[in-house]
Amino acid sequence: MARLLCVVCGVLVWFSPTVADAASLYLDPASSTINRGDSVTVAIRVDTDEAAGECINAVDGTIVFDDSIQPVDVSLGQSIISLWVEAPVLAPGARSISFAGGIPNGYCGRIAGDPRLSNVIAEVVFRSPGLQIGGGESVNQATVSLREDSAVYLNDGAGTKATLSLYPAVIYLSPGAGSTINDTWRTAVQNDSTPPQEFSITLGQYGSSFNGQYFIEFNTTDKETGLSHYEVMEEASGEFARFRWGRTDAPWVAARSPYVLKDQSLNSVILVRAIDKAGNEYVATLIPEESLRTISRERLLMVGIAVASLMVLIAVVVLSLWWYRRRMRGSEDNVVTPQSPDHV
Amino acid sequence: MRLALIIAALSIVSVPLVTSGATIATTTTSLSVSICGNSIVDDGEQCDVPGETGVYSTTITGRQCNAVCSFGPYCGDGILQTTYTEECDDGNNDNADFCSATCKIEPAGSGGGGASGGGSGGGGGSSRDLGESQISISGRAYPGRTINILLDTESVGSVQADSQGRFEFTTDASPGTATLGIWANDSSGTRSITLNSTFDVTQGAITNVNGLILPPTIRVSNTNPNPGDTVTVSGQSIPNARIEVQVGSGARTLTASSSPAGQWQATLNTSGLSAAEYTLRARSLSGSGSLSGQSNFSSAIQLFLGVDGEAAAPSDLNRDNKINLTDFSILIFWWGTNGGDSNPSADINGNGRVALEDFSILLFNWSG
Repeated sequence: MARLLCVVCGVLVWFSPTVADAASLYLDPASSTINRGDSVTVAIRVDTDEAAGECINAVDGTIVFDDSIQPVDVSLGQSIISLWVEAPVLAPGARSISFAGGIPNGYCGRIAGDPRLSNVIAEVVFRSPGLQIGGGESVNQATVSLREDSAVYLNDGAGTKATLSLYPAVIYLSPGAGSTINDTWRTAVQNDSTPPQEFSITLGQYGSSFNGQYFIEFNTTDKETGLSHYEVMEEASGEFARFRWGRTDAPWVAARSPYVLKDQSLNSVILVRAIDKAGNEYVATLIPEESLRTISRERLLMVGIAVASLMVLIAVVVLSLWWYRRRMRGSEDNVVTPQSPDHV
Repeated sequence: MRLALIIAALSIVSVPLVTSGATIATTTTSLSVSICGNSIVDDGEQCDVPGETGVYSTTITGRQCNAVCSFGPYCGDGILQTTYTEECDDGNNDNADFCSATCKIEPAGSGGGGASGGGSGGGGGSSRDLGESQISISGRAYPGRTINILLDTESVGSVQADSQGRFEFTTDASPGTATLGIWANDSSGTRSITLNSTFDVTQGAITNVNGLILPPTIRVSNTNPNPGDTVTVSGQSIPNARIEVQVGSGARTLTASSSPAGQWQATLNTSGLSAAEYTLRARSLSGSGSLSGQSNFSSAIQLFLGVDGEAAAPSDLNRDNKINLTDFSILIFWWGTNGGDSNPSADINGNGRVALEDFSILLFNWSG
């Protein structure tokens, strides 16, 4: 009888409205169980309606999660997104993570023979809180879900939103701890010794964008633990005698692309370093073309002050000498010459 | 008694899908029901083992039959099941073929190497320094034209298609998820859509991507015709193919054939079409049977029949004839605004706000 019910259910399901004609954003694994103190990686994945030949190119979403589970990190190492408008990052105390990014020319689904399911947007590592001692109610599961306003855009050249289905995940929290701590993310970070992909820096200036200022752009990926962040340095590019162009103690500053240069005179060497989650880094360098370099107002002022100071110094020296010689001459004039006896 | 609960039946079901009074499509599905639970593998059954529950198996031999007489998930079924921690599934339980007997990725240099070729061997267990990973692609495009190759949005080179439109290209790549794109300008200078494929690159091996077919280019003789006018739709595709042009959402379908040089042309008589904005896109179909091939759709172009309209801005925000990271940077600068005095406007779709819709259009037009 149970089998008959199964068949009937199957037929009903077959006749029910299908969701196959929609893209889907889902969390994977949909269900998992972890011990206290252990971690689990939940992937945000996207599927397209392959039967309809649907391709998508941009994703905008937010995941929300219960406070019974702690987010540990976000990994973009497996992500198919190559351009981020808003990369997913953890905010202290927040129970949600937002993201928005895209794939130039789109993503059209899994291709036959691909050994992996290459449809990851981002991976979020969660950890079950440790053992609870004392009072308080112990929670035995946590839900991670995608907010209803999450959206996926079709690669149709018109910015059309795709019909979208969303699927959450449930993490069951065992009341006890395992014999060992299972932390695959920490292991992955420890094993990652590969730097981010090589990349180059492009210098730009266009119309009224960035208020007409020079900016740089850069983009790369790290295919293991994923990128952590970028840092930029504008360092001294040369020196004349004891005078250096640019700061000699230029610091690395956290930055994202596009980045408006501090030294608009382009006399600094520009370095950008991409750092992955394991601390591996790749540094790209850009030396602006000689023909683009100018003297900045600040530097012009500095040079002006230096020249003026020098002129004042020379004037003081000249005046001092003149005054000294005049005084010496005056002293000579005032000396009384003894009269010779003949004049008497 | 479990037997004979259901009489075997075969029915053909047609479901017309109707929206707003217009029939969009008709699906035809065969539904087959047989007796499950009699220990006899009937037609339509993969297995029939009473008592088995179909739980996941790590081997082919240990696979279990489920309640509806098909096999439950197992390592070796050729289906990637990440829920069961599979990293790959190549349809067998063999080691040393880049996917281990337990469905874990095997680096090419870790003692594997065989069937898929490539790899520089050596290594022995370490996941480092296992030789270069490469992507080798082959496919068909427009005869004699230059095919531009993008890897993870960056241009990695170009190759010229031969007189049959065939091309091959190999590039180094880092292991992990990769997106490879190809595009070309046709003999009239019309740019094709970029055909993207996303897949995993195996460490230390050559990942072959075969059978790429560059979608046709498409252009019209007049983007603003009056109802009743005749419009010539043309472009270039792979040679000797059938071309299918969709006008609007099923409003009309045109067909044409491409010449040995890949040139194709179709005529659209707009009589009978109501005044409106239409979207045209084309795809190529070639060969027959197992050798048949079908391209993805081309770029979509707009036709303003009896209505005012202008084709969408091209996304080239700095007018350098390339749509790349610089245009993305300019878009980001104007993000959330109305595009200010950017020229061309960063508000690409002209809806008064630079947002994800504009980002999506820019990504669609990306040339690298």
